[in-house]
Amino acid sequence: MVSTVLIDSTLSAISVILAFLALGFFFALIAALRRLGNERRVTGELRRLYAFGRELLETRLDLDAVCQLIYEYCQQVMPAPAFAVQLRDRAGALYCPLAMVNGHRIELQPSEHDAQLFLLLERTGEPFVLDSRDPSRRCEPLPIAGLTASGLYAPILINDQMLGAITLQSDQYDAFDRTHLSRITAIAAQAALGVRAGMLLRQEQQRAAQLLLIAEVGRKVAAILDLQTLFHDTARLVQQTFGYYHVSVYHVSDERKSAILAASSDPVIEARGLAVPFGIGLIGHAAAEGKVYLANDVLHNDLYLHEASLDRTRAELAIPLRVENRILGVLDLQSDNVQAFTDEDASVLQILADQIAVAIEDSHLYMLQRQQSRVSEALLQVANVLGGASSSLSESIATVVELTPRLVEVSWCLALLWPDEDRVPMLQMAGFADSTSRELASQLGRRTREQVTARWGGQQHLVTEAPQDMAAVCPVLAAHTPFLVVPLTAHESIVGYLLAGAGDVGVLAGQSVSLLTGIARQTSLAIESAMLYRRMLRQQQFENEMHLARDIQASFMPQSLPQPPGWEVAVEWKAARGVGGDFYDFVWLDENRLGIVIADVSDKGVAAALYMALSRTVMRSTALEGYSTARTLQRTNTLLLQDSHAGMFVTMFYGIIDLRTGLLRYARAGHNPPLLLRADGLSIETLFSPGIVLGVLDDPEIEQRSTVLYPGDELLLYTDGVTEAVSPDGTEFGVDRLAEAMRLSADQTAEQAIMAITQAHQAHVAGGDQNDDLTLLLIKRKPVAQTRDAS
Amino acid sequence: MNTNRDRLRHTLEASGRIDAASAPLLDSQLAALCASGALDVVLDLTEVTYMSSSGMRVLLLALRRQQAAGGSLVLRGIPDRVMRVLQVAGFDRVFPIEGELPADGEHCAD
Repeated sequence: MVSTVLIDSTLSAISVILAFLALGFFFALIAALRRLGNERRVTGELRRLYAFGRELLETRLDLDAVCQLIYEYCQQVMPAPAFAVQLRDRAGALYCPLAMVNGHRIELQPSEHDAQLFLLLERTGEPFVLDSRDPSRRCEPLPIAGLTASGLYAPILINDQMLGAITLQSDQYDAFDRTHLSRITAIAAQAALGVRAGMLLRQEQQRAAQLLLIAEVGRKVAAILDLQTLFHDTARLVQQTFGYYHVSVYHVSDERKSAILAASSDPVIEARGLAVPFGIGLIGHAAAEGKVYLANDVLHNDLYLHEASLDRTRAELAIPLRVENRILGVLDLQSDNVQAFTDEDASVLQILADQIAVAIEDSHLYMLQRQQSRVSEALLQVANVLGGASSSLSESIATVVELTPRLVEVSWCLALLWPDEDRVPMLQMAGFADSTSRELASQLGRRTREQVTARWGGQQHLVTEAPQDMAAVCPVLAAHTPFLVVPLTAHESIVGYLLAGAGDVGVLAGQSVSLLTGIARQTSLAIESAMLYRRMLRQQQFENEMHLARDIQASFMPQSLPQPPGWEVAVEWKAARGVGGDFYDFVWLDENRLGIVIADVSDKGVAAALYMALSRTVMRSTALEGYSTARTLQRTNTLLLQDSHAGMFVTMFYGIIDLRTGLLRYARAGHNPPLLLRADGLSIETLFSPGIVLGVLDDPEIEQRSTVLYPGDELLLYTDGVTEAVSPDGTEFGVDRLAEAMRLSADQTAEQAIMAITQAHQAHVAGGDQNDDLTLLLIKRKPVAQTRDAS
Repeated sequence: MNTNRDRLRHTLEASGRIDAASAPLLDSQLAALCASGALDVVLDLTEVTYMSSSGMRVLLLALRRQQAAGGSLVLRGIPDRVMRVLQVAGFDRVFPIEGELPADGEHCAD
């Protein structure tokens, strides 16, 4: 679109110029007629001049054709061996569109001498003749080879503005006279319009071409989305298209308050890099202020910053790259010509700079968007892996570790974590050679969480070189610096680390870091939920086991209590949360003899419950065979020992009461000795007898002893859960308090007494945890009076 | 719990409550000591305040382990309170106690 507008404007410029030209010829003809006036030759010359003017019109404003016509016309009216047209461009520099020597075209570079001639012509505004013999002349003749004798010089003027000069030279002295002077005046006047039109058109054409090129560069640049390529191609395209000495693009860093070289048309400079602080040089000023800075003669410009590798620079133009009010960078153009840039160049190149700025902005946005989508895509992938319900934690971590090098472009990744209380860590890695992996596994696989946490702490950090202690802990890892360490946390404590390494520190910065942090965060969450799940599972398992144990235990308890006449039996049995192996039992040996059993298995849980079930069954069947109490316990021991139970044992007390006489025969296998409270309500006997727990020794020494329960006496059997229960201040309930509680409830029924004892026990423990089973079994021979009443 | 190595006897000092919660730790220490080749082990109970049946079970396991390895386990410095518990259970006749003659020859003969 830019180019179309330009072409339109160029066409309209051409038509204006043509109209001017036609008008100009008319006036010029009249002027020439006046000047030639009465002279006889006027008709012929006028005819030729008229033809010259018409032909100038027909050149269609082509500057080369205009110069050619001037040459041809001069040859017709005043032949000379050397001819040149020299013009001054917009910037004021001289150039020579046509130089002819003896009918042949030559290339001529205007010299310092030409510039002086120009100044002379401009001052006089009139043509003059020079003769090389005359030493008073201030100027040397034109250095056209061998034609040094005489010269005719005429300014090409329009409205007192000198566009250029026509030069004729001869190898003859006095080759030019006054007639020649008037002829060249007429020719120059005629030619001036054509020359100016041609120059204007050429300028317009150049500008149109320049704008076309800019549009082209802009279009190409806009298609580049990668920022570095964009900078690089911009520098290269502008340099190639406009032919400047050096083109560079800078991006502005507000943090560093500098313009940083992003690309240069010179690969050496680009590779070396450059940073120009704000306010230094043209670039520094353009970068800081967002304004165009131009130095058309750098050797006489205070702002210009000399760069040794760009020694030929004579003019510099620094154009800010702006989008709205933001300065993104600087486009810097350097020319090896003084006065290379006009204000028009600056404004035209600003159009290009604006396009580049927009392209940079687009690229920024695109890169940002692409980065963001890459990050979220990567994290989504990781989340999918970690969220996969079917895989275990270690499988998930393994997949994440595999995935990370592909997502983050690091060369290796390693996860080291302690998800449980395990001392041995879970280790997953990717990106190492097999042998390295094996070494890492053997070195890191033994490290405890405390050892590693002490070294890496709770902060994410970059390890660039391995400290001494690290080399000692894991030499292989120490040889793989640099790497990034990201802690993995669960329940606010560190459970492990995610490590990622690359050969280049630059990779472990910016986007990679935020990506790795994101991966670590997700991994942490996954670990946390896995830990929660495991804990829940374990808790559930434990609960299940405890339920099972309690069920087993309860199912082996007697369904009902015996109620022999003249006797009272009461029981308090409480299974602790952890479930011990307490049990009690009653065995009717015959109608008058009741066997009483209380026992406590040494451990807790299902195993203890099963051992209790075994003990009870063995004990019961042995008792029914009618042996003595001691013998029964010994046989039970033998049977229990037949199965190995990992050091499990059971304490047991077995007594046989003759309900008619009150005779109690008993034996004790490591169990707490029962307490016997006599009818007086005060004296208590401890039924101690030698005997060791069952299930330990092959042939234990167990003795049977006996005593008599008289009316009003009561016998209390208990387990260690009663006496060893502690109060909040750590005091055990103990045998003495138990005995005292018995005395206090001596005159009560067995049922009431056991309630009172239980209450005393609870008062002592007072809300503390009951961490053992508790069993109380009370047998009371009714006092005589009560017996009578009852019978 | 500390381990001191004499020439031949290895002494392990236990302290605090030895109950269902702490017994597994004592068990693993005694097992480790046995695994390290210690044959004659002395378990010092001076600082022990309480011993539950779980604790006694650990002592029993240790005794069997040492005996199986051809070594021994001797208890030392048993506080009264712990001693009562051991006596009730009859374990005072099972474990050799330092400074006492074996109560009964049959227990330590093998």
